[in-house]
Amino acid sequence: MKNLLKADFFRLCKDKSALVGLIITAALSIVSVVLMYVVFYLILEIPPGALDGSDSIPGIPVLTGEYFMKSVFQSSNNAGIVLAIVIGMIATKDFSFNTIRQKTIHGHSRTNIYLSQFITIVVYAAVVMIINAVISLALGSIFFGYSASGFEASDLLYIVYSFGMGLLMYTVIISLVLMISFLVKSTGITIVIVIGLSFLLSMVYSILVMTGGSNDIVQFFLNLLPDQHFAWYLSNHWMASKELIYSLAMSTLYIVLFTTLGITMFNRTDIK
Amino acid sequence: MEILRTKDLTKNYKSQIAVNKVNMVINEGDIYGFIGENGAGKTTLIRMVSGLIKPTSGDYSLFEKGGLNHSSASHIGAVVETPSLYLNMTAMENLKTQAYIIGLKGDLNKRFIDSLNLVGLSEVIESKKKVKNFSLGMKQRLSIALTLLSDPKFLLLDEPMNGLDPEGIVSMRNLIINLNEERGITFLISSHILEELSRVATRYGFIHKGVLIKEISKEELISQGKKHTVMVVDKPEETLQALKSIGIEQVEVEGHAVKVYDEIIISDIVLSLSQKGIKITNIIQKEKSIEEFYLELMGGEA
Repeated sequence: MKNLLKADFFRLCKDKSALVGLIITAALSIVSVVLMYVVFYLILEIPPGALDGSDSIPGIPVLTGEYFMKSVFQSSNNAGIVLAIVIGMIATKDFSFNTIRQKTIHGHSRTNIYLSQFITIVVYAAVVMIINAVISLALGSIFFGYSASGFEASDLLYIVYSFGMGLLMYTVIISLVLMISFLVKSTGITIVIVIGLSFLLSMVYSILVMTGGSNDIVQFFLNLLPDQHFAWYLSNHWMASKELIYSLAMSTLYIVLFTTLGITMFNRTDIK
Repeated sequence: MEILRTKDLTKNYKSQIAVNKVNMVINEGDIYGFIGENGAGKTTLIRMVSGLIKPTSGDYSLFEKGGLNHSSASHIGAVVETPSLYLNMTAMENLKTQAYIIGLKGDLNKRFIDSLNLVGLSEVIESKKKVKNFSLGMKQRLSIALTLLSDPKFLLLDEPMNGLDPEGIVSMRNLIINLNEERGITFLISSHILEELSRVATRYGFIHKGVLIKEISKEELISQGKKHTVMVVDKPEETLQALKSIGIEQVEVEGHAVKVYDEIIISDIVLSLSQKGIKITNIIQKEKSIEEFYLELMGGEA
């Protein structure tokens, strides 16, 4: 496993798509903060207080550095989708180059090959997400202020919590993308499925919210969706303990489920 | 020492049997030429032995122990069909990745250089050229260099000559012979290019529709591929009678070509036939080629 991790990290360092992914997501993070500032402050001329939470306008998110930092981890925002695509590209490269054979021929178990790839990609995604979150936090704080109540020393712990929860939620997406990559073994098809799934999940979430979040059955299905967990995360400063436990449990369950399914399928398939 | 022994090794794809109860033995030092038509099951068998696909039934042992595991895997290398290389990396970077996969430690640079020199790729040692810009022959040789890093005792090469130009084929042939003679590496090589394979192989296995129909050594093949004389004559039937009249029995006629399998003195035959008014336009001496042997074995099916 240690050998596989070394090989996978070395490969990642040499992969231009990993660097391009980092640059594009960082650019998107910068653009989204600047764009919001230009649209709300300069074009719509909405008063600053309306956007920092002190006097917010209904339907418009409370735009603060904290908001931008947390929104980085959302799978359905621009950077989230781009990162998911890049992860798909990195994960399928071993199949498109047929280099997966070398790992198998040298006696590495398929479970270890899968887990090594998973760990490498989680570390890569964490680095990209944290860089983006720091950029968004810094720029967002400059343009909109850190939060309505300003920055305090205790917020450092909150930032750590935000990074941790955000990464856990995004790891659900990583485990799903990795499972798809190992299932279809093709970069193109993986990208199409990732984009399709991203839209589908957002659509299902929106439909469920619109058709009645107050209905118990609808609420049950709504609570299963990662988008719902992210909405709780994004709309609350600290998540309520019930929601926090639910999000932690469901995210962990999804990660374990997708990874177990991925490993099981990979163990059963033949390598060409 | 037995390097590979398969026991009733079988692979089914739904209702289709790709490899059917193959019992094959490869001994230390062999260059085993694995011959069969497209879809005969050559690649499937190599993939099973390399651990890429799981057998439906049957078993195999490497180095007189179990199947592919961490211990046996460190002594084998395989290049299956297309080279398995990171095209976005240089040759040295590919070697470094492979070294990590194998778990090599110590001064690896010298090892990388030795491997590249051995396969005739010394020009890429300092080069920043990405592998995607290599020729197919260079990629094939680099693939072999990667397998050599683990100091293998057994190499499986699936169609290593495929797509190579004549120069590439010669260089691949020399490389295989050198590795076998100097490093004692045992080979299992599948190839369609039978004449080329016959220049390196010391043993052969013929597979047809998933069934291993014959295993034969180079010596046995030579002894079975009898030398014969082919004469092109104007009167083949009369030639046949004339030859029989002078005690030559093993004769075949194909159009104007008369094949004589007995040992003969050509000058005596020429004199005897010309006295009977038979004109000989050409005489050549031939040995049965591996291709002829293969076609004969397949009964003209291939």
